[in-house]
Amino acid sequence: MNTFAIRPLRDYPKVTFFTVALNNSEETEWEKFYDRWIRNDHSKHSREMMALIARTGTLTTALPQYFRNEAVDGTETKGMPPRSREYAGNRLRLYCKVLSPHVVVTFGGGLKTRGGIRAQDCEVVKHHFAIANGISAVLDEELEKCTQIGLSADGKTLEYNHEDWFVFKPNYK
Amino acid sequence: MSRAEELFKEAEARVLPQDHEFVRLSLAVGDRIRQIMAEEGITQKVLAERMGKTESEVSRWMCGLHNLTLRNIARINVALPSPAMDVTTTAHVRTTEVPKSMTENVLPFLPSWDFDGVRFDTKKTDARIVSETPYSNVA
Repeated sequence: MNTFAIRPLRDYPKVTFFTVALNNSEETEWEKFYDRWIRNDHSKHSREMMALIARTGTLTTALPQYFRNEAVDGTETKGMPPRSREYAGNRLRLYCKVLSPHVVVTFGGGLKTRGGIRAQDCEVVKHHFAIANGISAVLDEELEKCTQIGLSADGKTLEYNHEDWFVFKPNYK
Repeated sequence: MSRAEELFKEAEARVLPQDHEFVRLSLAVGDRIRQIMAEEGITQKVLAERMGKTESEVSRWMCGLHNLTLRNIARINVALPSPAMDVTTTAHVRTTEVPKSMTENVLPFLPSWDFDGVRFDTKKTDARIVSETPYSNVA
């Protein structure tokens, strides 16, 4: 059984970013992503992704055009950077779920294999993508029920309990 | 602060000014087109019709999928009430001093000339080549 809990990551003026911890672990997906893909990355790719996150959080809000749509089975999982010509050479992916223009939950990610293959077919990212899809589906359900996870009326605050662990099923479709 | 939050700050600190500028520019054109369309109440379909393009093609431009060449930007600028993208040009005067030996011994015997924005007045004792070129064209 797979479980996740929500953890705070960064509170910008316009967007609050969260991450998740899996299976009762103290370590979050962001920490794993940082340790694996950012800490020793000397390319521009992780820096550009961070600049994109900072711009989104500081100046704009989580506008749809700043994310790539990675939806599977209606989960509307998103990814960064956006599907844009400017970022065509950037294979680093960070999967996330945009809950509102002011709240984004980030998951894991990685350096996608060259050749334009789908995320679900890439050996590096498919596990992270499957987890992202599974958690996205649960977040959708929980926001619908509004019992353990909710958004404030203005969509700016995510209401959740730090101690709550939610069951999810990775979606490899 | 949790370790995740600390690492996020560390990742932020690695970003260079040019990375922020790249991101700003990469999103600017699409954002500007959207802004003008919203202000003027222009739909993607109307913009496509004005440009003689398909709606999906315009959609790709706005998502950054399509190569926004200068010709495409020109089409978009003409189709919108105000330009989505422009380059500020300022008249720039560049002067080139002519050696004194030339102004005294050679120029008095030559006619003044003016060609393609570049003037040469041989009748002036401090003869200089004066050109006015757009700032953007000056190296």
